[in-house]
Amino acid sequence: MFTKFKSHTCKIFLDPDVEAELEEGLKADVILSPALYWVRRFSLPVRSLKEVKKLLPSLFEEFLPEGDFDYYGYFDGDDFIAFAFEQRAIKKVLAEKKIPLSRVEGFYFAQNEIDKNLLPLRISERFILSEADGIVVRLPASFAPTAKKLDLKSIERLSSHQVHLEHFSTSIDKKSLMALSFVLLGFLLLYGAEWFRLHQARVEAEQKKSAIFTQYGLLPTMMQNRALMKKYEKIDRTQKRFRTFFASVLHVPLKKEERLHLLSWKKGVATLVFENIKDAKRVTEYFKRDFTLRKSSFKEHRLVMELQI
Amino acid sequence: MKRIHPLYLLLLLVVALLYSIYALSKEKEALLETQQEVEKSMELAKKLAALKKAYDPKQKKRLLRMIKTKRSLAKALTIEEKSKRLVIHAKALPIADANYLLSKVLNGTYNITKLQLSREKENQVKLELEIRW
Repeated sequence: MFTKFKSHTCKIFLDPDVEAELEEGLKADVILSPALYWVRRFSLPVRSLKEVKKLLPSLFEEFLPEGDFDYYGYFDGDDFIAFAFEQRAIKKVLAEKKIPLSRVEGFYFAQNEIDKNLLPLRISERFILSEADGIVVRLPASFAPTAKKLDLKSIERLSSHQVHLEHFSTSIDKKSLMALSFVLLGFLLLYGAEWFRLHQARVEAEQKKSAIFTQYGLLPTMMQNRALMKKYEKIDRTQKRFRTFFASVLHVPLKKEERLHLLSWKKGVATLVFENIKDAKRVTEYFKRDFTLRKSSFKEHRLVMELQI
Repeated sequence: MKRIHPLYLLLLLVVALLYSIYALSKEKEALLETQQEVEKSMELAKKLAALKKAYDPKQKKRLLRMIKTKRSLAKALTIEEKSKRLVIHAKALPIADANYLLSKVLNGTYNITKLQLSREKENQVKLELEIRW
């Protein structure tokens, strides 16, 4: 229940001229040396952090050299403390110290983390940290030869003023990337909406199909229904054909004494027997127009025909 | 978020977009298929219902009732009634009755499986008629 979390982070003071080493398996909270950032205290008429952040590049404009800077700041009483730093320069120093960026938890400014009452503090043989008008600065060691060595362990708790560096650099600028992402997202939403509309239409079509099955009392599968349909169609075809045949029999051109003696029909085969026929060809030709003559015999004026209907 | 390469996010969006295009085309195909199935089912259902109605076993009763209403016909015929078929025999059926019976049967939708008609005398015929349901 009361799990103790073991800290896996250590503090590192990052300065181009100070040695730093990260132990295996640990992550680092990096305190940036004043050599790696610019800091200014402003007295501003605005109190909105959002508005001030927009102004930061112009506030620093005349103080900074050429470069690609990021900004950070916060209100300290009536003043605004603003920082400018170059990600590329910090990454370069990290690389020199062989500290991978992936193992850095966050970056802090020495301005916020070092207790000003303890200054001056020696950070290397050549440099010390000192204070000038409330600003922590890096100075040559000759300014305070007796200064005590900076002990990072004495910093019990880091401030909340933490910054992060981008792990990756892209050739496309952020705004273009965002615009492109929004366009893609827009398309994704449009396609999603269209998919949903089509899906709904499909669900409705499925329901309609089920309703047809219920309404017309169809068998459960289309295969069964098709088989049943085939059976009925065959019956219907045969019956229509039989009725056509029967109509032909009724209209057979017979002479006065000629007559039909027998009509038999079973399984698609019809047998007709005519009596007193004088010209068998006339009668057989009449039936051959529409039906297949299978067999015929003509003997003693008796004509027997077998037809395939 | 800062630890994820922005291009990976872009790639993810592109992949998602490609997948959504694929899913959309699949859904379109499925909808078209279902709509065609609905049309086919409707067509088949209507045809089947019409044929079922035409060759309805209830027609047997109708035919028997029709025979019974004509006394001379009922008298001349021998009717063999089985579960799914009806066999009608007549050794000497007057031509007028034969005409009447055949006109009713042939103008109705009966599944006639056998018909044998032979002239026995000048105005009488021998008849055998089999109808199935």
